[in-house]
Amino acid sequence: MTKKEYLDSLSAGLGTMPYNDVKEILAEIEEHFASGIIAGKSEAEISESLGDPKELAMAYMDGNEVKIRSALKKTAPAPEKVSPKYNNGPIFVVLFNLFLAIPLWLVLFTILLAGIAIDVAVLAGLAALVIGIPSAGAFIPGLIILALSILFFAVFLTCLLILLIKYFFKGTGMYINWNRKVWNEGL
Amino acid sequence: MNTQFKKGVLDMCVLAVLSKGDSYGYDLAEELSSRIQIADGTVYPLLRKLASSGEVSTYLKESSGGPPRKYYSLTDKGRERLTNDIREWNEFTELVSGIIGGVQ
Repeated sequence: MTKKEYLDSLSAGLGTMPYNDVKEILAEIEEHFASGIIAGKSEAEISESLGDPKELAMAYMDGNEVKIRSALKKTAPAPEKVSPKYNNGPIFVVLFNLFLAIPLWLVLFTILLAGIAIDVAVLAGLAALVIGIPSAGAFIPGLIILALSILFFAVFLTCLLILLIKYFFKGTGMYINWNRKVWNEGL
Repeated sequence: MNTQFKKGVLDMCVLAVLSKGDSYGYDLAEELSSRIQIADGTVYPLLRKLASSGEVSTYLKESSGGPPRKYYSLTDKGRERLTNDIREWNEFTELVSGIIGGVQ
């Protein structure tokens, strides 16, 4: 095999590799031929001792060229990731919860409880009103309108509370997860 | 010789040859293929891999009567790896010898 045939076959075997890599590899093998010729060998002898160009191409492909290429470009070694020796997570989580999160959570929880209590009271009042309507005589039409208004208000309040409760628990869950993360990894 | 055997130790052999002094591809290939039966081409993908992992570095140097040659040089990281590999190799061969010792 002549040098040209060898390089052509190698080049074909490197098919999917980026052009720059192929160029580098071919230059290196070409240099090998040049050195061999200086040492008094024929192109055929050099090709023979280099080994099958297809196998050589495969060996290059095995080396995970993409990774190699980016590493060759970047001559400076990547700085090692410094992991903080001291994890400030737990202390932060404890202090944050003690002074801010837990009081705030209690306030929100109290507001929710109050909301539920108000809702229950409104529903109870509505029930009492409805029971009272038949014996109200001339006030019946007015009371019905009042009852309907209260009913709408109660439904609105209930929906609002359900939504709030849902987000309250969802938020609490997310907050606990965030705490866990900070605890383990620090800020 | 068993090609699987050779595959595992060629990195170490390339590093070992370079530990004696910088060298270029053809020279390395000749040096190794004259001692263990490998195709000359085998060293080139290995050198590329070692260069990418920072265990060898390269530079160009004028050659007498030809284009400049690409020289390979062992880095500190490569030297460290070589020391490790040699130690592990010695431990390993000792263990294997212990297992196969006495078997004909």
